[in-house]
Amino acid sequence: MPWTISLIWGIILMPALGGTISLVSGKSSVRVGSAALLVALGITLGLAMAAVSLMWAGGQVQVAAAWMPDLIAGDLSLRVGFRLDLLAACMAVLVALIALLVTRYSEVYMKGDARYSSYFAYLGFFVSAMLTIVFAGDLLTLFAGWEWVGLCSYLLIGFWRNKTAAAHAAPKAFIVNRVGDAFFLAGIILAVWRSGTTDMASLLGQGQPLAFWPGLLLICGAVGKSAQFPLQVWLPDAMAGPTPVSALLHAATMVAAGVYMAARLSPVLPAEVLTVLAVIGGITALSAALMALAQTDIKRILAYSTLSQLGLMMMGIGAGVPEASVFHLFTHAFFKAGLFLVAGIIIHTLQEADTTGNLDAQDIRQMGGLRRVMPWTWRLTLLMGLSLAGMPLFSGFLSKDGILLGIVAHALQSGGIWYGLVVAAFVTTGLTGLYISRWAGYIFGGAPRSEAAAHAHDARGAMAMPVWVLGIGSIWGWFSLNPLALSEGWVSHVLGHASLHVQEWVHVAVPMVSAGLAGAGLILGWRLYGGGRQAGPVTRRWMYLDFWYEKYLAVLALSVARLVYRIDTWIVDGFVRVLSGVIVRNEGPSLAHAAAFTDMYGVDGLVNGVAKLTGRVGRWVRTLQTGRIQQYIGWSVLVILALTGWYCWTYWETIWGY
Amino acid sequence: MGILTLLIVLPLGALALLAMVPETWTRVFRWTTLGVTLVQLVVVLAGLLPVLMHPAAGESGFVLQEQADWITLDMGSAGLMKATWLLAVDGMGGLLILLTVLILPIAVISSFEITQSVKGYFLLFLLLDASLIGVFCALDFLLFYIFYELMLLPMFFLIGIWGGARREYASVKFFLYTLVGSVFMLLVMVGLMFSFTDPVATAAAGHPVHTLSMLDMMQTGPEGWPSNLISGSFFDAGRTLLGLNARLLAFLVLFIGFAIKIPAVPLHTWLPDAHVEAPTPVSVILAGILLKVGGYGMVRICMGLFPEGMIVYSPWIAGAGILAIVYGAMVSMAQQDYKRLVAYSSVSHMGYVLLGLGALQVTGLTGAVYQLFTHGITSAMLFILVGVLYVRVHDRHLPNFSGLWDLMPRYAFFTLVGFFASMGLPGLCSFVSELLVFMGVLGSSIPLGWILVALSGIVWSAVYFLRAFRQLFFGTFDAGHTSTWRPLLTDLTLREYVMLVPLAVLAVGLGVWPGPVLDMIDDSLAHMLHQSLTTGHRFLSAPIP
Repeated sequence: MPWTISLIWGIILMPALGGTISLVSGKSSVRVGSAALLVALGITLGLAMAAVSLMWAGGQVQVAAAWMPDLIAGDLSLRVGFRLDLLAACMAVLVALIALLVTRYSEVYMKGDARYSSYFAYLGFFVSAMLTIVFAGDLLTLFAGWEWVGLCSYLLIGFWRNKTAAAHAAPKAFIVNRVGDAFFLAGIILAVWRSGTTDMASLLGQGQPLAFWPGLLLICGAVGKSAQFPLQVWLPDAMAGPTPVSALLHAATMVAAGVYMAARLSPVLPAEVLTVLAVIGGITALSAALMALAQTDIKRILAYSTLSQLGLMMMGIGAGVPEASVFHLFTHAFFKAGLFLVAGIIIHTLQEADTTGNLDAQDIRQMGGLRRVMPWTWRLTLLMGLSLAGMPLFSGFLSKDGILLGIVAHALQSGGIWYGLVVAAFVTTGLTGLYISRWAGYIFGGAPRSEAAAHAHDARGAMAMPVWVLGIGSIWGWFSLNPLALSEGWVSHVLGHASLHVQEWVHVAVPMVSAGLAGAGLILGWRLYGGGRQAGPVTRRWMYLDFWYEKYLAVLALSVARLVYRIDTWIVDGFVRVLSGVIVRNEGPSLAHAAAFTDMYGVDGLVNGVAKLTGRVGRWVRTLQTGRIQQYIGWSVLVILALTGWYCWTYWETIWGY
Repeated sequence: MGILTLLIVLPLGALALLAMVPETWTRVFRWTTLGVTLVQLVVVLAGLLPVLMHPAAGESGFVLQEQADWITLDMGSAGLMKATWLLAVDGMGGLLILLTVLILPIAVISSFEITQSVKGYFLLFLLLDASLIGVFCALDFLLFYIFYELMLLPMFFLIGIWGGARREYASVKFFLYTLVGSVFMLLVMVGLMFSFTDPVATAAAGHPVHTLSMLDMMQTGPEGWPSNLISGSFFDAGRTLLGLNARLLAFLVLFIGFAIKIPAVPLHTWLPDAHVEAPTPVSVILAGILLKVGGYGMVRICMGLFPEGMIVYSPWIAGAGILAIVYGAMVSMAQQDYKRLVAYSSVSHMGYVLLGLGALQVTGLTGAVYQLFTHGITSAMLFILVGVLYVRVHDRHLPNFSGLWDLMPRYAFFTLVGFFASMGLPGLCSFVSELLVFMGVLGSSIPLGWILVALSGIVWSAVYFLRAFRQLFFGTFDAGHTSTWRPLLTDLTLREYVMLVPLAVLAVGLGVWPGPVLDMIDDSLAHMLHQSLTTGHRFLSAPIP
């Protein structure tokens, strides 16, 4: 089907084409800069939908070409190419849809920026790189897309390059990602050597799992891109980029690429690697949820929330329910991108309303009471926040349920460390409710805590529309007719359905417990922070529960949260900083300086030393050549005496006959 | 006249003509030299490449062979010695000649900046041109040696006269360093000459005719034993010198000579000094072409003539590669001088060549040779980028710059391409060679732990390049002590585009579509490696008399 191949090419190249037009025409007309990308993404979305309908019946289309000649007499063929199947097509629709919404939103958000059109160009290049990952039919193409999204992320995080934070966050993101990529590359090569091909279909078709090391190395790539422990340090800093970028790259698509890749490769990953992945996911999910509690930056809280949710998805893959994880990736893309866009709206309106000039528009402590001045934003936030918390009637409930069921089922089967992971997953669920209602409580609840917050207003038009779409997309009905369980529908058709062998009560208990925990977290968070008061005098309502909350539970939770955050900043990120400090820094001693010092004084010093020594010896020898006969005779006599002395000393016994 | 001879004679002829032109006609020197290099480029593209690309290029891969009698010396009882004008190229040699003729026109355009003693400069440039081409296609050892030494002479003066403040120190250091390798090469050459005979001439003359032809030296019989090796001669199996295996000793001293050239840690300290002092075009040639002579020599001469040395020392060579990758990157990270940073990054990147060689496996070897080519492109680009900044403000101290993106957006774009090409982003050229090198080592017996250490190199390269990029382009342009720079820091000129655009196109093209180039080299490399391994193992298992 040659025209299916053109379809793939069209989907992948269209955004880059739009981006190029933006870049080229942006100088002459600002309007064209964004319109070109919008049109291109619209076409991409249409093509992706066509691809979905084409692949609906199943099957796959593959196109591959030899990238370089077969090496070693054809034992090893390095091919690059694409694969189109239903999952990839649906992923493409998701990426194109969210990119389209974010682009429309950015038209307003970035208005007046000096480099308006290059922003849209970078965005277009990013979408193409992301779609390369989605359609990658072999590991090399995957790796290429993998690094290109890293490059685009670097450019977009550092978009406001005059800001110090952005100037440091951008290289940090790329470098930390590259750590994962280096291992990923090693994993790819080992896998290629084993299977003799880079082709993913034949790798997956071989049936038996990879060995431990190749599997683990492959997973490292996902750990870097999806910002999992211990490579999570780059994502919170990446919030220095424009907010729509955070919505698209650092919530919905790029960071989800790790999950997508791990899910695709999970059939060939050995059981030990899957367990490692689940443990990594568990640590990330729990610690990030705790850290979200200790933050005051409107975007950083969402960033930690993203980490936590990605950790949950990784746990799902580890537990053997990759389809549930991919489903959560879909629903998460909607509500998390939406929440970021809400944050963007708030930052935008606060900056506009601020008259003092010293407002930190990202500090949630400066907000409050926005429920009254931004009623529609509040309602949409409610939809998306409840979906994030995993409350029934929302999409997040359906997808989180699948992951939790998978983890519980796996724990009942394997036991051991998996029980710990079950606990981690459920605690994370509760904490999710807590931090998101704390976030919403600080922002929307109570009374305004700043002048600007009192004069904020809802967004209209191009900025509001995407949030509406994403908010409404967070409701259950799009994914399943039954709000309490995933019914037969397009989701199970696309992703397949895992058959879990668990008793009926588990199916009932898991969603009840998770929704109960999340609900408790939501209520607790709202009661603590939704009243618009800082931990003030104890109100004696609610059977003194507030007292208990504030005195013990909240204090405990918060101190744990602060502790974990401190561990993260001081130990994990601290390790990165110390490492980078040890290896390279501007002043003071470091490994790089030590190497440079060794080079200058050790290695080169030796060279110069030899040169100097040669010169000295030469000069000294020259002084011997005085031309005075007396001196020569003197030296000769000295040498003769010395030789005689040495001879006598050595042959003392022979001479004297002892 | 064959194509290869033409390529060598062309610059020499131009040199002879230009020597008669008065000093003041600077334009004549510039444009004639540019014309010569462009003609060379056309000759290579139209004459050399089609032959090499042709599938019938032959198993052993040597094509366009030209041979003419040159020196025949009667050495009395020792027989006759015969050195010939023997030129031929295989995939590797052809690729490096292609690199040379691609880089040279760009270096000439960059040389338009030179205003001091233009005549001398371009005459030396043409001499360098001829010797570089010669080194990559000479297959007579004496001829190779002469071209190899001839390279040093113009380079010494180009750095020593047209260089920066410490130019004398740098040029003398460069000269002495590389001379160390050459002296040993001379000794090995004499030994080789007494150990090999020319089969055809010997049969015709009826008594041994000693040869210097590397083709004769590499010719092997059915079991992999060199057919023209005189039994009991200096380089026969099992002969010792100072209690050491003579052949392994010869391998080592030659290898050290080439390791200085490439350069390998700890023999590299001439490089940063030479680069920092050299004018931009000389840096471009030095990093773009001259370093490649080291890698070329290792494969052609060390591996070709003493293959068992490669087998015995391959773990050490790979180790040296890993050391160079990590050490070079570390030192690069500590640099505040832009040009020194790029120079040390070359040390790091040439480590991949050593690592690929040490894998002793065809994928790694192909990667190593491809790295020679891609590093030629990227390093030339990086040095030109450094030159763009230096020619404007005469400063290379990175902390003095910031926020240049606003002032020079086009320059920022090309720097981005150059940096990411150099750090091996997929789709750009270095990725292909790094991928092949790592495929080679991961398919060899080198332990995984060591390979992961080497792999950290791709992280370190991101660290130092992105750090430099942040210092140069992020932030705001400081209007304080550098305010006088603002009018000077203008975006790229037409001449700079002419240099940077072809390099950027090549960097992308070689990364996206490496097939043709790899097609050109992989057959001859596979053949060469196979033959070397057979011969090497044959030597290692030979009974010691």
